[in-house]
Amino acid sequence: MTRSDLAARTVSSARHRTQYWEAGPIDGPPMIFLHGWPGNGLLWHAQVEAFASLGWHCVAPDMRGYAGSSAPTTVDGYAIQEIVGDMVELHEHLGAYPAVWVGHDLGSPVAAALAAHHAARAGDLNGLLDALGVPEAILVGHDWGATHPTELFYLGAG
Amino acid sequence: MTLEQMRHGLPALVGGLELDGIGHWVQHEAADLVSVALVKFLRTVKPV
Repeated sequence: MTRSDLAARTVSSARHRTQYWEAGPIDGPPMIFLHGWPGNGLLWHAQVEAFASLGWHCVAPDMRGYAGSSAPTTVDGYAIQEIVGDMVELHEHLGAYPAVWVGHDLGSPVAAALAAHHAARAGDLNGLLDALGVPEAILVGHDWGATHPTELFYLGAG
Repeated sequence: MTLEQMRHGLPALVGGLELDGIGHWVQHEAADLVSVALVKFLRTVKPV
C-alpha cells in the first residue's frame, strides 16, 4: 500500500457519524477537503492523492447526508452550524492539529465558518508546517454552478 | 459575477482562476489545474 492510497474510515459520536477518506502520512500537516451539494469525499480523490504523495495528511469526509455518513431526517439537521459541528468532531478525532481546509460549493461556507468560529483549527501552522514550506491558511474554493458559461475557481484567505 | 464584484464581499480574496469549458465539479473535471492552483494559493499566503 502506497501512502497515497485512499482508506475509508469513520468517526462517531452521540450526535453524528462521519465517514472519511484518508491518505498520506498521519503525522503530516493536515489538509481537509469538503465537498458540496451534491457529492461525496471521493470527488476530491485527485487532490487527496496528489497532496498525500507530497507528505500531507489528506482527509476528505462524506458530509452529513451523503454516502457513509449519517443522514438526519430533518431540515434543521443540515444547518451550517451542525455541519461545522461534524467537522469539529472529525478534526478533534484527527488530533486537532491546525489544518488547511479546502471547500467546494456548500463545503466553502463550512470552511469559512471554521475559520471564523474555530480559528485555532485553521490557524497558526508555523512550526508544524515550516519544515515542508507550506503555509498557515484557510482555503475556500467555489464556483458558480453549471448555469454560468465560465466556471470560476476562487481562493480566499481567512 | 466577476472576480472584482466578489472582492466587495470577500476582502481577503487573493485571486481567482477562470476555466473555460469546465463544469461545476471543477476539482474533478480539471483536477491537475485545481491542485496547481491550490499550491500557488498556499505559496501566495505564505511564501516558501
